[in-house]
Amino acid sequence: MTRARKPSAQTAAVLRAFAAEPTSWRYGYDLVRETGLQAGSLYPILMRLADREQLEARWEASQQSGVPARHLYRLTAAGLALAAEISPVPAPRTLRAQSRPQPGVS
Amino acid sequence: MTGLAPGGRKSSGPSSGDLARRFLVLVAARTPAGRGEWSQAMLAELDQVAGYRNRWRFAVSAARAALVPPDCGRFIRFALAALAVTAAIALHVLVPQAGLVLAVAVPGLTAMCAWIALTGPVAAHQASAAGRVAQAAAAALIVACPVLAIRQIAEYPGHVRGLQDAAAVVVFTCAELAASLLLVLRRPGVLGAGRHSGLAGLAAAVVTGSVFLVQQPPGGQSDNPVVTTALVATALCAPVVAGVLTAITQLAGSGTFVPCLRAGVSEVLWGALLTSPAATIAFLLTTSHRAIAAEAAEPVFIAEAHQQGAASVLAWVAQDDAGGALAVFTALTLAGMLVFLLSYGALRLAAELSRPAPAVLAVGERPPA
Repeated sequence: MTRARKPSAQTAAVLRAFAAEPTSWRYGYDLVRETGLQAGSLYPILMRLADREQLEARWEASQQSGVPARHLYRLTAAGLALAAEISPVPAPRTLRAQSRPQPGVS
Repeated sequence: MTGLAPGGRKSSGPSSGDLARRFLVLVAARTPAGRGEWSQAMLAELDQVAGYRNRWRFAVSAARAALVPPDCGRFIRFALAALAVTAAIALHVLVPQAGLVLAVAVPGLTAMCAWIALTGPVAAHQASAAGRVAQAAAAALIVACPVLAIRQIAEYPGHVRGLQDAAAVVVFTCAELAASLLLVLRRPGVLGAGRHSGLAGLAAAVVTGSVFLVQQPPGGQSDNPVVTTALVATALCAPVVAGVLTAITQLAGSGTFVPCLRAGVSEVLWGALLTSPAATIAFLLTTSHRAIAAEAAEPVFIAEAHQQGAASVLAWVAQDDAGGALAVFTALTLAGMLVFLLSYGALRLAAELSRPAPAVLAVGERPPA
């Protein structure tokens, strides 16, 4: 489904955060801290993007024993196209991406 | 994965006394169908949040996201908030006798009821046949309210200061009743509607109404204000009686106290939803008849009404202010529902927090959708 109107500033912030590292799977709390949004604002945005197939989500595969599996998110091609529409994609933060532990996916 | 949270804090999982997590678990259980996975995702992220305040802030914020559908929540919230503010200003200007507190409280509580009904998850259980009868009766009573209120105003036009008063009161009464109707028909799960919800409240309303009619037949006049006050108190307490009876009945069957108490409070709430409009109509009609007669025959009665706190509504009517009286009735109904709602929420929260901590998902296990 194509989004007809311009994304809100909050949605744009989330899209930019994803677009900065387009191939990385991201945690929800990671995005909360990066965008400065509250969980109550971030998760409805993620839900909407997922409903429109602009975001894909997976459950983390490897995890410590006794710790609940975490959800991971990444933009789909449609999501990346939307992110490119709202603003030029910023240069990937390679240094940060390298230093961050890459979560395993199923 | 190294076992470290992205921020570098070692994730230790939830502790047994983690109230923020228990709160979010409680909310996650009420998440609308199809959103369960997202609630589990938020729960897992909560375990990464460090600090008591930060954890509570995340939990409360995530709870909002878990309960409110993302596509309609924002629009409805803004629309209702805008309507409530506009309505409060209009009520204050058009019916200044209602006072500023009522002008804010009535639209505010109405908007809150509508928001719960429109955005909250529906009850988990389908209503039973008896529950549907109670629903239908409540809906009929609610629909009858504006009709009877308009009839009352038409019957005594001299007791309305002007068309502005009448129009404003009718509009606000209809808005309140529409919110009440939404709650009854939608049966939001957050209000704890069970399969038979409302049945005990309906029975209490029927009994109260019957007593009311026997004591105060239509067109009849009583010279004993104590009788009227007692009947009104009975009508307002009917939901509480229904709740107590429900709790006692369940306690006799199961012997477990907290769930029975919860069922009782739930029934109080649904009883209030059912009986408040009926009590409003009966009280308004009866007191108006009596106050008008007393005003013509015995002015001392009006002074007595002023001195009695419980008869303050009667004082409104006695002052030729049907608009103010209706506003008071409306506020009473909504304030009662708010009290019951908050009591129910507090009880549910206390019951959930007193349970043992739920087990976390095993490694790689998928949460239920």
